[in-house]
Amino acid sequence: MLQTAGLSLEQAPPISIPFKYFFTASLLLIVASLLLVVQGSDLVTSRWSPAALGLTHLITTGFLAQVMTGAMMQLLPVLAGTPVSAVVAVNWIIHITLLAGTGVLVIGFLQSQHLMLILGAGILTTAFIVLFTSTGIALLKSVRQQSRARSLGIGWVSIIPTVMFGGYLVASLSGLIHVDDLQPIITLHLSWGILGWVGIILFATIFELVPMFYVTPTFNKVLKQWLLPVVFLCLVIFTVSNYFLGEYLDNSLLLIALVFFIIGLSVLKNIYNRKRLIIDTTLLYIWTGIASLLIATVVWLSAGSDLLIGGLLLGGVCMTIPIGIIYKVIPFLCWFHLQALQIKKRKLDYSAPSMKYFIKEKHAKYQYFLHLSALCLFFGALLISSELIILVGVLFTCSSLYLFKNILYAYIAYHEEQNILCS
Amino acid sequence: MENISKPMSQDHRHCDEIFMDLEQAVVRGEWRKTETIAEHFITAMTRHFQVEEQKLFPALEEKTSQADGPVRVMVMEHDQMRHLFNKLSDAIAQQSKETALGITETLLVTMQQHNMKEENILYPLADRFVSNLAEEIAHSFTESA
Repeated sequence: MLQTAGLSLEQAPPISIPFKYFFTASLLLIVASLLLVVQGSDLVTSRWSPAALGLTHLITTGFLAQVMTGAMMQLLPVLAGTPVSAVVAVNWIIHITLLAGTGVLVIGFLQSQHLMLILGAGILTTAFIVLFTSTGIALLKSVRQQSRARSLGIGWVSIIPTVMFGGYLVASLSGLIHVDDLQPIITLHLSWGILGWVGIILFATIFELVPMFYVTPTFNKVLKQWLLPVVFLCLVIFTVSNYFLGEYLDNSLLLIALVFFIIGLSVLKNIYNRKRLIIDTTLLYIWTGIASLLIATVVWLSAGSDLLIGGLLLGGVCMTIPIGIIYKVIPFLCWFHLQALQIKKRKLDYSAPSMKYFIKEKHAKYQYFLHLSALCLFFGALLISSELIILVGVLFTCSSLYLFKNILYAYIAYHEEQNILCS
Repeated sequence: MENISKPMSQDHRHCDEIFMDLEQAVVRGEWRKTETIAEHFITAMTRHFQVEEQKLFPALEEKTSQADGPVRVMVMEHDQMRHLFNKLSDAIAQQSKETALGITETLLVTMQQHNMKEENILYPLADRFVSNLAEEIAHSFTESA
């Protein structure tokens, strides 16, 4: 008898879980945008200002971690056939600790409170340990240890050095340990976090979702299977050489920039060759994200402004692509769960609305234009006048509020339909 | 050696191709053409479901023998898609572009995530445990093509 214990192709987990993550993500984006309004001028003057550090973590451990965890919980059953065990309880812990950890850490940065920094880092570490263990167990239980899941796996492994170097920085900033030069540790923390954790997971997800959503040819096998592990390997070399072989340090990071440039181009080429010609708003988000990545790598390879690179990566890539993913995933989940409920309830006279009903195309598009205007103005503020930064914050706030409203409307529409089905 | 994954996955791509033509015809408002392609598409999809539900899944279920298993979920998703075919046919008959495009969007994501689960999980399982069916399955596609 074939053992398929734990193998389930159900669309796990319950819909409340992704909604919880996506709601929280949009709320954290609103907070980040408001921070830009209130303390934006500090941000432009130094990338190491408390406001800049707070903003960076609101976007990464806040917005991004919430979206990526929500999406990961959906992708696991599809990719590996094994959902996370005790999915509701585990996600409750991950969600709360991610949110609390980010909140406390950001307050620690903004108020230079050492205790808050230590506490925030501790709570976030707990969140990542639970996340890492639960998804790791699910992957190990998978009948087929997939190469597809490999990149996602190494992306999550990259969180370990990110957290370790982050913890080292917090310990140093809090005076628990003494470090002469923090700069190399900051670079390592930043590199593992943005290029390793975020970069690898985001593009491993794109490699899976782009062919599925836009019916493109599948990505080149070598590119899909090996480029992201190359990024990981380069980060390892970079870390090791930082301690032993300083002169190779820059080269391995430059190689990563080159790899991401190749990945960006191949995603564009892949989308260009798509069979589905319709251009929906989610595609605009993906294009904008990839264009930002390509510009960021060019600025990086030509030794341009760090602030511009950071803005392109955080605002252009990390804030943009996940919104596109949210707009595809939420309507589908609403429709799918209603259909499953209909079958369970045997309500044959019920007909679930199509995906476009839950988030209307025009509302997704309005938010896109707000988001794009904010991005363009942000780069204008960096290149022309830093005084524009408050206006950038206002535009980002409007855009994030619109995102929150769109998710909320989808949630309300889902529950109205669910009530019809259960009545 | 013949396997099951290859012809089944190829047939997914074949159905995708027809779907793209269908959606494009809806976008252009070419209703007569849309009707013809829709009929072709539904026939191709129905044939694919039949191969799975009548040949592949029963054999696989015999090996896994788990009533609550992956096969049940796949069959449920087939039913969801059949329901969408009906709604799509109605929308095409009424020449309602907005409704038809809402349904094609839903159908596309449903099909793609369904195919992904089959190609990632179910077909590799079939290759391992009911590979004796490979020739018969490949034949059933060439036969009715």
